[in-house]
Amino acid sequence: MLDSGTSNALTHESSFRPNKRAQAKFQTRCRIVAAAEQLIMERGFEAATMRDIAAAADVSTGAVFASFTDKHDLFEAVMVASTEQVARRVTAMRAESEGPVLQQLLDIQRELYAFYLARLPLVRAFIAQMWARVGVGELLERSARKPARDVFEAVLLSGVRSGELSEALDVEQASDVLWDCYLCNYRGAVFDQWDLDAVMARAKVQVEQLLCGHLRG
Amino acid sequence: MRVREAQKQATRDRVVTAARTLFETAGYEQTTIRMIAEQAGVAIGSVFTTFSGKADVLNHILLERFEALFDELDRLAPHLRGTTRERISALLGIAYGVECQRMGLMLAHLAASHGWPEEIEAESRRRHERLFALLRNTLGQGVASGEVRADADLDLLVHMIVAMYRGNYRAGWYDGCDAEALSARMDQQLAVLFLGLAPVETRTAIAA
Repeated sequence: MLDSGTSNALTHESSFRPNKRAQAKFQTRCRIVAAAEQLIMERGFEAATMRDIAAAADVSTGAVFASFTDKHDLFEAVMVASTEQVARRVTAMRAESEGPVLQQLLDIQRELYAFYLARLPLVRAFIAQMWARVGVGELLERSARKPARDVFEAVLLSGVRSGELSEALDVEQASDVLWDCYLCNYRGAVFDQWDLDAVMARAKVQVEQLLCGHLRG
Repeated sequence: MRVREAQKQATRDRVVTAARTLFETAGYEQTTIRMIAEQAGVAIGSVFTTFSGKADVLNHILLERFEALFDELDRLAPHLRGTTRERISALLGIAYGVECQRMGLMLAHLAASHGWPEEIEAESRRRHERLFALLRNTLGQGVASGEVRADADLDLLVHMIVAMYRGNYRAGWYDGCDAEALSARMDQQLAVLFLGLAPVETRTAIAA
């Protein structure tokens, strides 16, 4: 039997040999995450129980707890999975875009909003969990908030580099403000039935207001 | 009839006191109605005759708390000196000072605020109208004095400032920032925002 850790110096083939059990576990994990996302979308975070998620994933409750410490842990995986989807699109956009900073930021926000407005129960659960416990919040911070906020920061930095934005701009604080304003607009969707256009209309004036003092020329 | 009302009020007070302690120590999410009932020494059913749920209890606690804070801000506002930005910074600094003493409650508020029922959201907005009005008036004074440009959308600015104010509690929570540190952050963020608020003539002078 081959030791899966043996490296073959003669070829560059990975020494990793997919272990069937690991694969099965990974697939189970994916099913559970998908089921969790589905149930949280349908019923909200509180009402989606681990037992029901297990049933929807067609596994035992024990199997769920073998992969996830608790519901917060599972929810973090749900957020990571969803963030990855939208992050791919945003990264692709960034690679192609060359327009003004304002437009870039709005295009990115439109992408994020389009994705998450269709998943509002996840957003609501995310915001609630963000404040739950230090450990939980920090995981969500890394998996969900930071990726978006860092993209905003990257756009601002490129704007400074290109001379479109003043060098005096406090990029760090501006990125935080952009994120806070971006997040607060979900309130409109949750409580005031804002659709994508309404959210984007608000986002546009916010970003314009924030940047107008820093545009050069 | 009066006895029953008095009893109901007593139960309500005990529930509120118990919930306040639990939200503060165990956290909003971890606290259950059962825990509140036990702590208050009342039956679970009686909790529900006085409140519609956990969010309702929280809302009531916050109502009292914010009223006191807004009273204080209204009282102090006329005595503040400095630029518009400095005055807004001072007001929110006072708010941070007060709320950081009961961080658990503020976090509970923020946690609940996207998930609670519409009636409670409506109530919360009504309650915050005092703060919004105070901020709007302060900005309005800035317009009158020529510090803030005449065409500034004050409502938009108030909402952005409040979003920033609330967002900073995250730093307080994760990074262990105290009220002073949060104030300093707020100040830096207001600086970013206010650069876009100067009347155009002044702005060209600043940029030069």
